[in-house]
Amino acid sequence: MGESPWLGAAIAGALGAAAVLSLPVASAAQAPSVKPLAPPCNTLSDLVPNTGSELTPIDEANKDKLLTSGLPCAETVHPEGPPGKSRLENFQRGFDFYSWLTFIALNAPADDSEIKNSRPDTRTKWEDMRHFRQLADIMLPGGKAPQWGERRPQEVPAACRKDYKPGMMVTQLIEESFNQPFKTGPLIDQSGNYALFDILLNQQMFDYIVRNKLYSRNEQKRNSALKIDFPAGTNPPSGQTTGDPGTVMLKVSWKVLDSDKDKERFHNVDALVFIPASEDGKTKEACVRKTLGLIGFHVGHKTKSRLQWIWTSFEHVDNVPEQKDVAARNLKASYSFYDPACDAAKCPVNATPPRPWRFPDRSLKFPGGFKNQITRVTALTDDTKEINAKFQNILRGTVWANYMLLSTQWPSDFGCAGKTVQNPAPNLPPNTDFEKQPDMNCAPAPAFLANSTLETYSQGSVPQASSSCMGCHGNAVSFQQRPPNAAPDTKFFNQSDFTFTLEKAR
Amino acid sequence: MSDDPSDKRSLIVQNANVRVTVTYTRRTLLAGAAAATAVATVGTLSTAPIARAADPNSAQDMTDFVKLSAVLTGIMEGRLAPAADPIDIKRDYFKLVSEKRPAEFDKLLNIVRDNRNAPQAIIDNVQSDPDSKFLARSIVLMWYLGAWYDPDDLKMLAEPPPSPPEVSHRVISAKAYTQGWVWRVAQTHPMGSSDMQFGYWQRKPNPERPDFIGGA
Repeated sequence: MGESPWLGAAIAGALGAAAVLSLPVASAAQAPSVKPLAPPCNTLSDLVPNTGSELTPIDEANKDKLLTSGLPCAETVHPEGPPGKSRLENFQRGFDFYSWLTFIALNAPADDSEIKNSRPDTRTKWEDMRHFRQLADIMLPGGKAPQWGERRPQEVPAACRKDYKPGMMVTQLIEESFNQPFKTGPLIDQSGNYALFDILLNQQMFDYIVRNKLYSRNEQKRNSALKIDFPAGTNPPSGQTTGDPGTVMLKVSWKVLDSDKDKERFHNVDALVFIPASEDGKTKEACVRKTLGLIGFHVGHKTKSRLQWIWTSFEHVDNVPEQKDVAARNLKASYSFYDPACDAAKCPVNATPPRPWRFPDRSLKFPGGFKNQITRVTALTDDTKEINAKFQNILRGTVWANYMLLSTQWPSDFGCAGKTVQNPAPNLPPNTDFEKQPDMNCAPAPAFLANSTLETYSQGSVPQASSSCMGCHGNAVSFQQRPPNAAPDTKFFNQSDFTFTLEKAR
Repeated sequence: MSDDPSDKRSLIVQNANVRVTVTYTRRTLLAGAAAATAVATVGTLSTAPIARAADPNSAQDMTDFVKLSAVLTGIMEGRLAPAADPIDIKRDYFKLVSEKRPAEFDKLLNIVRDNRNAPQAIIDNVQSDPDSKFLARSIVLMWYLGAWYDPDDLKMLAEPPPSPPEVSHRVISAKAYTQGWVWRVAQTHPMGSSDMQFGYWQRKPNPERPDFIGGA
């Protein structure tokens, strides 16, 4: 699952117009108070406690409890389950249950009302800047320190200011906003529009970045001895309500919605899309107002017993068909990224758009009228389909019933996953073992996971080539450099704890 | 990498019942440790009856296959087949062997069924059976190298000259290639595929490390 390896240089100019030259002091006290996502932590699990095999009902009778149970601070999973299920399947079901609870908690209305009453355009918790901030608002020009809370007017790109309203989503385009991980290409919908991607971090992650000045490349280089180790989520001890969700990171994908009919089917936001001036100076910066519909939703959550993070991936049910459905001609009338009426000769499946892959212009249309023809390569498991049907049923009547979990990737080697460093540097939370071998990802399950809108061109099961959340994010590094005076046998790491976001420091 | 005797290391692998010590160098190990291990498992005839066809979906058959594999390779059962096993290469191997050599494979599993708590007896029986011992070598090579060596070729190789200069083989799959145990024993990774920690190249292989093939 990828935020993608980013090229910092490419974006320096792109976000230049958003530079905040003099920020007024805005204290936390000025921000309206907000109920945290957690604690209290949601410790529900897929199994009824102390039964060993009885599944927690996901039905009308249990609906209100499930839909208001809040954010899990960590997974609550078990090896046991119904007869006939393997240990792996039982754990997977537990993680998938955790993923659905997480999805519901994050997409619940920002105003603390219940998700069962939400409308397609109801603002969600994660869209509320009191809970999450977009990465572009954190990695500021010049390596300046960001501040938590609502975006201040000066932080809005100049081209967008006239249309900006407080709380509005502003998507600032950088290459990774339209080009997929490893620069594998843009994704173009059936209306010819680019799909757009964005990254958001919660306050725990933001605070760690600020505390260690990781928003600045120079500070990253200076602080080369830091073993980057984001806070891990913990559930409270039994019977208590404490706990901490730790670090949560989101990557979302959007499609431009043109019709009112689409707006009823997708969660949508009234957004400003900031398009930087072209590097050759031929195109000026621009800002367009669009209704964006949510099509993909990744959650990365670091927990104390899963230091390789837990990786959740959802997407909209209308995105693409599965390959086997195409083969069987078991197709819907339409999809966002697949045309059932177009044959393979004319619309090659899973092909990238023709080059060049330039920044979108203000139309947000790909030049030449290209439209992608995408299928899902790896089918959902029957167990995942089953849990999806149950949760979609209790979300019926809301737009959230139109989203499905693809899977949850988790480190399955438990002995490996919980190992911690033995000789931590002073004053650092020693949560991560930096010498984990031979598989620092601790056997991800499932081995591969791809979202059709976020890892479109790396679906499949080829080792080291197909999309694996941990397999990719385990390679993330920072700008830290080996100290020049370090002894030759000093162990030095510049890993950035499974996030590429630190490469965006400026 | 050197073949200097001072660079030799003792590799210790064990399960609950078996402890094997092999002195090796990285070069010799990478070149042929797996084949050498296979060659070491040869001997006399088994009289175990063929009960039924091996079934990869049978939990007991799979357990027996993993036990057999652990005895042959010297790698712990829990390492070959973790309790939660998303890779599940054991199933691929089971299916391959049962398709390639169903009768001999059943014989091997029968040896395990008769000696579940006696690993040495499994080794002795495999070694004593000409039908089984070369398939056992194929299984060892499969686990270590992720490749299939036909038992008949291995048999030819074991016979007096003129034997073929080399035996043919095929890499079973991309997955099998990445799962070859030879890489973990040598504390390295296959070309083009690594899940090792960033910066691992700074550290010398250390036979005392338990995390590559041991129990920690």
